[in-house]
Amino acid sequence: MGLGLSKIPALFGFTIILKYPVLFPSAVLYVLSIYLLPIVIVARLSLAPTNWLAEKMMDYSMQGSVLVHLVLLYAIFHVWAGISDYREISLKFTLIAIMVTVSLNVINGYMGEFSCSHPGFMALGAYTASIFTVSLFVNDSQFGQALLPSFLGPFVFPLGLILGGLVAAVGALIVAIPSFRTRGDYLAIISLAFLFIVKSLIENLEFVGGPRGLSSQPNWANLPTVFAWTVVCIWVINNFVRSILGKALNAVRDEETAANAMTVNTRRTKMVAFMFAAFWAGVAGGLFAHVLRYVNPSTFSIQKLAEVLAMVYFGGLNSVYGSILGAVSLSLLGEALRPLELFKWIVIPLLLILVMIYRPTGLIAFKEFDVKKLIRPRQRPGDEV
Amino acid sequence: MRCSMSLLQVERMTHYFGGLRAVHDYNLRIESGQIRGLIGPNGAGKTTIFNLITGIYQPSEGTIRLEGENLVGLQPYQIASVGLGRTFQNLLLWRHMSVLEHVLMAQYSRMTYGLIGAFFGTAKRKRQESEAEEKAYRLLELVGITDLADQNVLNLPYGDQRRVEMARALAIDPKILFLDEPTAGMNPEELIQMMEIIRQVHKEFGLAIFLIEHRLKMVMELCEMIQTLVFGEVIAEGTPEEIQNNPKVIDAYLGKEAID
Repeated sequence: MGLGLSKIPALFGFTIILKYPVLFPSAVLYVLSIYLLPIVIVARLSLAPTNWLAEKMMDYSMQGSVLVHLVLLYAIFHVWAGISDYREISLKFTLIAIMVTVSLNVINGYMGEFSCSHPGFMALGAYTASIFTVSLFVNDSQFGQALLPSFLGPFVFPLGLILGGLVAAVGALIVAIPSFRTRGDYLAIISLAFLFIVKSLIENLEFVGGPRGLSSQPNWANLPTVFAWTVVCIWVINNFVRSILGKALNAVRDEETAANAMTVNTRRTKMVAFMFAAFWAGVAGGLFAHVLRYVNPSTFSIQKLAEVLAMVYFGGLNSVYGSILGAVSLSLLGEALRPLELFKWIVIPLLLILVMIYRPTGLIAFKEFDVKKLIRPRQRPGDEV
Repeated sequence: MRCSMSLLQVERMTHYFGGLRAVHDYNLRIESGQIRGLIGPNGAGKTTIFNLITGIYQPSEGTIRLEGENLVGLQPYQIASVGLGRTFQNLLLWRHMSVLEHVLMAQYSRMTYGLIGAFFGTAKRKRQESEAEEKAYRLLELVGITDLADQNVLNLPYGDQRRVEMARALAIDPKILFLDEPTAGMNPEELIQMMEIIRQVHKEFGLAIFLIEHRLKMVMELCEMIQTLVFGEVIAEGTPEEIQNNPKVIDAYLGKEAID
């Protein structure tokens, strides 16, 4: 290429800058000319007509408007990810990270308890969904012949994911029963123990491959599937935390005695929310296994936990926006800083420490995710669509 | 039936904290629409009695009945849903929630849309929540803080925070309202406003009110019957005049201080 770049920068040129600092100006120029300038120009030029369109759509139907926005967003993802497999898989993992982070925020942010078992719930979901699909649709040495024709696969796949989520929710119930008798650090300790139990349980189960892991999942977790699940996950969780039943979590967190005296069944509220969050972690785990098409127990270790917790606290507590931001920025940063190898794990924690010092509750904390506000017409330039 | 059964009836309630007897042989009857007061020096066990009746503590002995239904052994949220609203002496507000959200939250048990409604935003949920919001605004208007609805509670002055607690307690549709020192820390002007609110609430809903108060002026003006509690035991019970003139009360509680 003319700028001296060997190939198209996969992630906005970060990787190239870190690998070959000499190419810094070219990479910046590339980002400017391919992303920044066109986006700004298009946004400015199309501001008036799109605002007019947005207004018309709002008049017509809110759902329709949301759908159009989502389709356009997906189209952008599709084009961007179409360039290389690396981009596509990074994007899928980022979307899955969003699901995991938003669901963990329900526990650690909205409910204000500290749960460490989210990777464990992901593992339960990943293995359940994998066993479901592999045993039903794949000729596998472990699980024998396929039981159903493979054309049914994509239709049955959501069932497998939901099953994975439900198993994770049952796991959550096991954690919740002893933990929510009182407040305090019990949940943190019990959930950490649960994470280790799940991991060593899977390591010792021969029929799912033990520590070697389980592979040959069918390739059904394509970009539209992952995108659709992420959207549904955010939509349902956001619905929940904005309802009075969901806001009860905040009441329990801020002052449990008062919540109890104001007719809130605090124990049930906490248990339901915990299982709900675990369900989505399980679904995300199922998707994860099918994106990678391989799953092993060591994926769901303490390091995964640290990653997810970092995303939640970096992005912001009690906020769906925050979790999306945290998951996206830390996933991208993780990929972008890959050339730094070991030093990556110095840079990212350092960033976290800075955020904790200057914004103790995270970047965008305590902000409601209001779809209506997001898609209504605006006067400011720089909006997409 | 009505004449024989009081709205709230507490009989021979006793409570121990470990070996310490905090409340001894406490009896109470509140008829509907009645305002009753509970006075006593610090540490006499007034708030403990509130916490026992509202289920935060379980009494060691005794019975508590609301309209004949037993309340002993129920969880606080269950007791609240059958119609026992309360405020707290040391303001237990939810620090990250707005005024409106406080009043909405107290209608939790009226939300019957279930988890399906919460997850998918069904029409039933939208209807119930908008009804709850209407009711919340009515209550905020009653206590006079409609314009603060979207404020975070921590930004409000002390007197307004007390009003939020009041509106919140009313939002559960109580049959009887427990007020734990509703004017603590208020200036004289706020005090008069609060008394006005209590009178208005009493008139509008015909509520029974059970009041703990340090300011005697307020208790004497508002209450029909007053109990005096010292070291967990009721030493005197009667109308404001009787209490004021009771030598035991003057001795134990008022001392030689004049009533302001």
